[in-house]
Amino acid sequence: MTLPGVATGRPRAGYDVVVVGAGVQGLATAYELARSGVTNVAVLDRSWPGGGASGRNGEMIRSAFSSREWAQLFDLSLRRFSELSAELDFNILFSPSGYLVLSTTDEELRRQDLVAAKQAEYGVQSEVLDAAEVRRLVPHANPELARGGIFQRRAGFAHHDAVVWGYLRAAARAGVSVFSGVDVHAVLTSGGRVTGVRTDGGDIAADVVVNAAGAYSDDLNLTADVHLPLVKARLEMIVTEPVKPFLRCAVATPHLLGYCHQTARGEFVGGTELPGHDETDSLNTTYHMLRDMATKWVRLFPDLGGVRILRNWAGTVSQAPDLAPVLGEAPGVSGYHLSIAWVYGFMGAPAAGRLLAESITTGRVPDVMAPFDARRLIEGRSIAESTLVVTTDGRS
Amino acid sequence: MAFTFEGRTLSARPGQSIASAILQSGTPVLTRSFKYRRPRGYTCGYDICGNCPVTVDGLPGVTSCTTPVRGGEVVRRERGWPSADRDLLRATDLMARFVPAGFQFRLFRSRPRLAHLAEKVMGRVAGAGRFPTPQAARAVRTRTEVDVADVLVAGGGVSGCAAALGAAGSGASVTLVHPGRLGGRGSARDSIVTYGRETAPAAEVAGRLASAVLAHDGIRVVDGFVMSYFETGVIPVVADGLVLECRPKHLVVATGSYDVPGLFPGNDKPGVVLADGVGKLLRVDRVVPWRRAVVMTDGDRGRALADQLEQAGVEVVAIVVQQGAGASPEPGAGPADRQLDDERVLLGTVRAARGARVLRAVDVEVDGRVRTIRADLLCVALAPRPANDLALQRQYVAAGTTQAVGGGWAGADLSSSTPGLSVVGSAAGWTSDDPDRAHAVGAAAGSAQEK
Repeated sequence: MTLPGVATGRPRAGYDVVVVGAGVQGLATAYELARSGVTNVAVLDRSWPGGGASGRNGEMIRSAFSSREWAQLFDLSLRRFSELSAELDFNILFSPSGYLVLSTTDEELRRQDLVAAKQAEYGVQSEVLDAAEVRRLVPHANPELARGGIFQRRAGFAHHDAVVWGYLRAAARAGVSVFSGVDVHAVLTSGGRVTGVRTDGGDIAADVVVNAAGAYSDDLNLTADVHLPLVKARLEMIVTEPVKPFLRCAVATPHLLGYCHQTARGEFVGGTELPGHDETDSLNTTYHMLRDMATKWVRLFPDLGGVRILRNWAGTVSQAPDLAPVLGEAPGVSGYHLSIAWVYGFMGAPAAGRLLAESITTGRVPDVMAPFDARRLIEGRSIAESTLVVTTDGRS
Repeated sequence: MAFTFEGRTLSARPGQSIASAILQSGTPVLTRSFKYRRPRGYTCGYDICGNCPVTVDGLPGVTSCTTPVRGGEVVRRERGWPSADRDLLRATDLMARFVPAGFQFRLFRSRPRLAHLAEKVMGRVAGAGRFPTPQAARAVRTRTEVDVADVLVAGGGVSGCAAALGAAGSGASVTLVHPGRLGGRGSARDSIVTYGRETAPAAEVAGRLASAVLAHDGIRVVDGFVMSYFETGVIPVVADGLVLECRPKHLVVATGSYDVPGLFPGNDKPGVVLADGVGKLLRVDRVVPWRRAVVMTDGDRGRALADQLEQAGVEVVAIVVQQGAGASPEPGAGPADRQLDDERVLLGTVRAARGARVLRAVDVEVDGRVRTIRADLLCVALAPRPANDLALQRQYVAAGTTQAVGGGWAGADLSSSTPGLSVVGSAAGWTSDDPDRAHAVGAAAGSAQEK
């Protein structure tokens, strides 16, 4: 089967850059490399483009985080999202409908002023809402759970497949070769330098290799003797049958460990999590999570009672103890660059692609990217971000 | 029994489906398609095609072809403005050239404000989506119960019933899940079936098997459907007011087959009906809403359906035996439909279904010439496809990834290699009913569970 934007035939024996993984990270990086003049690039994926977590996430986008590092990285991404449709010549259905992080507990209500003040300090504009304002914004939400919130007006969501297709098409047009069905078994190194990759179809030489292999990025790292404390985790979501528009903005609820939005077509899309993480690379959905999601979303939006679930899915990630991504050159292997450990990867890809491409082409690490260097994990430093809708399991 | 349909009172016999009663009243359009607002009507008869959702007592999306009339309910159609019969938004379809599939990814890509506005408009205009009323939502609330049966049989047609009897006969506890009345598609078939020492029409055998299942102490019959197969082996079954969490030691998949649609322009028009849907309307619902029929077949099922239709008083003006890909070219040899002594038989190809709102005529190409045949029914009787989704899903779950799945499973014998799984009947690709064989498979599954 041929896919638009995917190269036919086999990869050549060598490229300037080989990117492992044709998800949104790999494709964004390849596109940005081509845009800055590096076009002898191959993107290799064992499956189809966007087949992993890039097509299995919640599609939501914000930059209103509580830490400077996250706020600055994701604010760049948010700005990129708003210009991507025009730049890629493909409407990625970016919807700046706003992003609301609900406050439910007294503790969350107490903290929201503080968090918004920090965001203002980082240059990210957000609004603190009381119960009445939240009610106006999401009238269908259960008032017992929607007692307040922080609202970022220019944030929202985009169509995750469209973002993958847009990057894929634009990268291919710029000269990047994207290969589907090529399994990368190992990163090849020699004397502390990357020399290429070993695939099921033979070795491919490259002076620069980018690891954007999503859930499998740690497996790849081990072949290059790069050891980072990453674990695999499975996340699940549901989609309901279409209902008339009732939810304009994207909503995250730390109390329920959930995040959701409604698509232009009317489907309600939501994911939840349970404390701890589900350490597997299986793409199966589970019955207990299906029940958890159905129960929690009807609690938050009682009108969803009786609405049918159309489908559900699972996606896998590889995550760091602080849940922040790892961006930049791998410690000890020059030419081997990482865009891994993404838990908010769809959201961060437009920024990460640009920053990583810049660091590869110029050899200088941009300031926004620097805190996400892999050495923080080896040295035991973590980035403290308090507004994530995922749980740490205390192992960090 | 009577119910209210958009202000009118319609009557129905006990057991008759809501869709058949609406059709009987002279209303062929049951809904509109989501985007292009094309009229849609009764098509498959078995809750597969999605062309017949209606709102019943405030609950949207009720499949009207499989939901029996209870009496006293209030039924209305869901899409179309001002009504499903005359939908002004049909204009979308007439401008389909300008809004092809995926048009939204090209639209306003350099005009973010317009793109955002377009998104809001599309959400309003899209043809679906009312919330259930609070009462309706309460009515579909479920409690959860754990089912401890050794063997779960999914599907209560001829093969499923026979397999359940086989398993129960060997001492296993059995739960059989089937939506609606037992018997399945066999209930509407004329073909001759052998079961034990008896030989009888499928419909009769189906009835006898159903009675035996209902009378058996070792078989729990649940009116519902299997939701899915999940890892850790849990199989939730959704029934009225109840979710049964089954963890059987053995799963028998007897989910039958799907009728496949014909590929021609207008194949979604009300009046284009799949073969089993025609049979069910005639035999089970006992409604004949047509006068003149064209039957489209690829070889095996056309003549039998034509005979059923004529017995019901429908004039069959042509049996089109599809020529070209997949069809045998030699007339007079092989399957019954190709016998040229039947003057209704045309060796040709259906090119289009015509009619502004519902089917009025069928374009058939014979020897390079297209002729238009007036008809209000085009019965599509093509070779069915096994409904082996549940068995396939079990394989996917075992693999845990989409990577491992090649093209090999679709036609493979899914049960031979998987412990704890059997597939019987047309779900396994059997081309005719074989209850003896299904019974033996069930017996083997059941005796394997003996402690």
